[in-house]
Amino acid sequence: MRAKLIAIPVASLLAASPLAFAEEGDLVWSGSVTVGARYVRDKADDPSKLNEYRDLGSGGSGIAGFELRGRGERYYTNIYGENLGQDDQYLDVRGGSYGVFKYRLFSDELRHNFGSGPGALSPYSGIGSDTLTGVFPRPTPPATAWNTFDHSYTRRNLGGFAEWQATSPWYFRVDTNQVKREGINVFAGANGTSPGNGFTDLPSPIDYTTTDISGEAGYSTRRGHLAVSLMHSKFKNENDVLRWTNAFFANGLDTTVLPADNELTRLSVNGNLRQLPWNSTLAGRLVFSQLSSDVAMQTTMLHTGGVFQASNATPGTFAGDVKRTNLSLSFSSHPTKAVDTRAYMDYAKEDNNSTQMSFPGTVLTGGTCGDAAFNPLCEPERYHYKRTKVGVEGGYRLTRENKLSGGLEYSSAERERVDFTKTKDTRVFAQWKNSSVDWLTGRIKYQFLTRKSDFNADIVATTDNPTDFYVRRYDLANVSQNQLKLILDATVAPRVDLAFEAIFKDNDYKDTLLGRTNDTRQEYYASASFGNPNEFRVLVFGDVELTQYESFHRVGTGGADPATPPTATTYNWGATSKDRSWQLGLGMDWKPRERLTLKASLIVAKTEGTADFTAEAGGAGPFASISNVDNTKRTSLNVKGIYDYSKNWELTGGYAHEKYEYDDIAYNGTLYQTTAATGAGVVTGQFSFQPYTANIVYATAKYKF
Amino acid sequence: MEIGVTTSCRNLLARLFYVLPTLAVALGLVAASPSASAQRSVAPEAETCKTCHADYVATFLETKHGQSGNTRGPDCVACHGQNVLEHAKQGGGRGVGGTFSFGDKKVDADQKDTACLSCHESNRHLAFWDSGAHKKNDVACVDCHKMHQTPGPGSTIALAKDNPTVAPLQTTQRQLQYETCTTCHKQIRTQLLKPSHHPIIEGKLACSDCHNPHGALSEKMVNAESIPQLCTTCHTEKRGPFVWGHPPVEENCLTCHNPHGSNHARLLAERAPNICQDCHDAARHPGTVYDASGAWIRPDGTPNPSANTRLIARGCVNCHYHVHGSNAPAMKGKFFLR
Repeated sequence: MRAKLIAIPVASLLAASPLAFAEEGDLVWSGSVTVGARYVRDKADDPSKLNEYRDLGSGGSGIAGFELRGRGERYYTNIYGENLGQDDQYLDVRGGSYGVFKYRLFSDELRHNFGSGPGALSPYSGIGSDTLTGVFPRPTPPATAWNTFDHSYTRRNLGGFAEWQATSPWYFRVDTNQVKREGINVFAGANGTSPGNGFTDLPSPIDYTTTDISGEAGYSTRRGHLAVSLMHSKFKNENDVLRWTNAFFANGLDTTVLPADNELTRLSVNGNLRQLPWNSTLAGRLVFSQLSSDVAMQTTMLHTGGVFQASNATPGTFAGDVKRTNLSLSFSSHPTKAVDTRAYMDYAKEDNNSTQMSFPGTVLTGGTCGDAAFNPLCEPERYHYKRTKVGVEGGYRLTRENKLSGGLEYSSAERERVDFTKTKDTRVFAQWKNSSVDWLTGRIKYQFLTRKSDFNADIVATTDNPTDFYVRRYDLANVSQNQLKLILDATVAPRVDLAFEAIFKDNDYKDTLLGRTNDTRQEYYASASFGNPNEFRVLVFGDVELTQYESFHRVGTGGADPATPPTATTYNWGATSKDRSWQLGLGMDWKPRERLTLKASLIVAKTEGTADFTAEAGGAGPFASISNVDNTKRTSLNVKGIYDYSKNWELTGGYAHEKYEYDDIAYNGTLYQTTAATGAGVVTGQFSFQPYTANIVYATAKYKF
Repeated sequence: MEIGVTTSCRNLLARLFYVLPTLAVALGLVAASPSASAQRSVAPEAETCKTCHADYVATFLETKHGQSGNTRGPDCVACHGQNVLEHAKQGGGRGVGGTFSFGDKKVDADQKDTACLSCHESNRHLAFWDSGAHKKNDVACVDCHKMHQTPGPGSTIALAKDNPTVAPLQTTQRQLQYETCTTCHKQIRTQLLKPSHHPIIEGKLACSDCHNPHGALSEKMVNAESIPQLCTTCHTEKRGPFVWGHPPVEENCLTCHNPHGSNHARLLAERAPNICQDCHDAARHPGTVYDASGAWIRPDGTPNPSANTRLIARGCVNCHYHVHGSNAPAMKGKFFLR
């Protein structure tokens, strides 16, 4: 609140400054003021999807906005505000003096809605605070023993910059902003110590403040540029922990450790030299950053039987310290009209100098943590990595209309990780761009990437999970990737544009025994647009996207080796996950009369997901396929008419209809609580009641001057 | 019992209280200033151009370039060539008299950019233009920036927007940047319209918040040295460092997330538990098959009070919630449980 009180008078002063310093008759003002009303009638058990990022609460609301533009011999300013008094309010003040300075101040708000009504129920009291208490077990909702809450948080970004250019080619710039997030988000906590003990949804307080400030000084001419900038960012969480009644541990007060405060400092030097021989430019960037976070460790945690057990955290405070260094260089040349080249390198290093924590002798053990054979002191692994990338690209114009491009890139990384310590990526691409036909431009690009990774065969010495020896995690596993892109743009007649795009990407994790073995992505897009944007223009587009993930797994205690013959309880199985989406869009801008403009938009978008499972012969099964993984259908219709009643008055009226359908295996038919067959689960109902229908009408009057 | 943050009457009045002083000062400035209808002056050559191109001159004057006080700003000749009078003398027409037309497809992007870079090459935000993908792919300045178009509401720069807006109801009146970018990056528009997306079409995030369209040394021209550093610019609570980290989180957020849009909540590229099982396998869970029999509604349509906690809601993340990193002690942190 204090920042807002400061920002608005400062903005007002800045807006007034042109007048204060200008001679009489200097500034010419224009602008507008908009007032109106909107009415939303929605049919939804939980309208949070309708209002996810928009303030479209049911019922009537006002619409207000304004804009002012001042233009003068030396100064200019723009002041803009919209959605005044709404959750998505936006204010912006910008201006300056030509060639001397420029500035901007802004305030941008939104509310991210996650759930409400039956989609936000909890058996806990104290929601909004850092302590949730309850008595378990609870009768299933909608019994009055459950509380409703507003599952959302507001996000307000307040900031600005000032840049001094009067001493050109020197310039100085200061940027600052503060983002404040306040509200509730639902976290979750595992109830017990074993995977089968269930979980509980935990409405947690969100009270985050991130404050950034940076300063930059630079020297910039047509021949070259050099800048130094220093940035500091501080994240603060007003709540260190969330305490909550854990029914599994005898209704004791358990602890969830919330995100800790952190600070980031970043020093960057960047520059370039232009007009070098062969029409070349050398560009570079060197960045050092340090990220730190000090956390006082929990000395005890609630454990089996509702007893608090010592964590034996050694030392008692974790001092997080990660330093990153990044160096990038690029040399671009255009030696002849037909040839362009670029050579580049990138070096990145992350050193994790955080406190090496240990938890020796604690009862709070599980898996390898505290296991005498694997990790007796229960020490975390501090992640470091170092990566070097070099590449060359080139383009050659066979003719003015035909350009061939290609490139080769090599990347090598070393990291501190239990499975893959080294990876080497090689990427090549070739592209042909053609515009020989006057009305048609085409581009086709093929890219091949291969990764070779060094797998740590000693992994079994560090983990009590023998299956890990056979798992290859896809983010770093050996892979062959093929990618093809085709783009066609055609102007078949004056003001008639056609476009087609196709993208195909296939990742073959060829050496993977267990884990993701393949993923494929295909996307096809087509559009047609015709007409003069100032009179009548229509756009129609359609898009189809298909993604597929194949994976292979093993379950059972009868041996981790996938080559071991299966039994009814130990066997290999495969999964195929598919995601599909279709979209059809239609947009129209039409000016049937000089004073009347009509705009319309229609979108029909559908998503569908499935998962199929097969076990090897001799194993368990058959398994029930999943046919509804985030199946959605959204229909959005907007129509709007804008009438220029007079030179000063503009009237707008509009209607919007939205319908959203949602069908998902994880959320349909929620009972809010599961019984203890696989461990009790308690959920708030989030995403279980998303479908909505909404009809929205609105009208505004804008006065222009 | 309603608990939590609500927009009360008091909040609404408080917001208006903050805005009204600015509005009052601004209106005061307007009242104290000369009439808004005062005629702007134009460069002498433009008087000739106005004869046939009055609308172009008028819209040019709306931009920063055209401000009469912007003595460093260009006039018609500076961009379109010296022979404007010869062009008029010969009766006009594209290229006649040697005038340079930015709309001519036969003119290379480099030639079009020369006019703009003659003034703007030393601008700080163009420092890496030569290294960027847009220059490499023959994208010209005028493909995105329009000199003869009125800047949209709330903007001082006119961006290209040739096509009607196709989006759900937007509460913003501003012309949004993504409309310009998706003119070429067409498939990105459809990703932005997916069920899970950053608030880009709602006007709360712009493409340039993550990418630098004027060129950058990073892959995909992002505004940071790496993907995690970019994402944690906003998602600062996930920056860490954590006592217990999750290596793929620290190396690349895109291992699990699709930032432009996804079918799945939280921008996940694939749903849990499948996405987690692609990396994690063990004798019991997570090696178990979590099929439809574990849902709240069984395949036969009957309610299932013993739904599988690894399938419903967030899947694995129901228990392993702190998947981006944890500061809890011992196994509570190692397995991201607290």
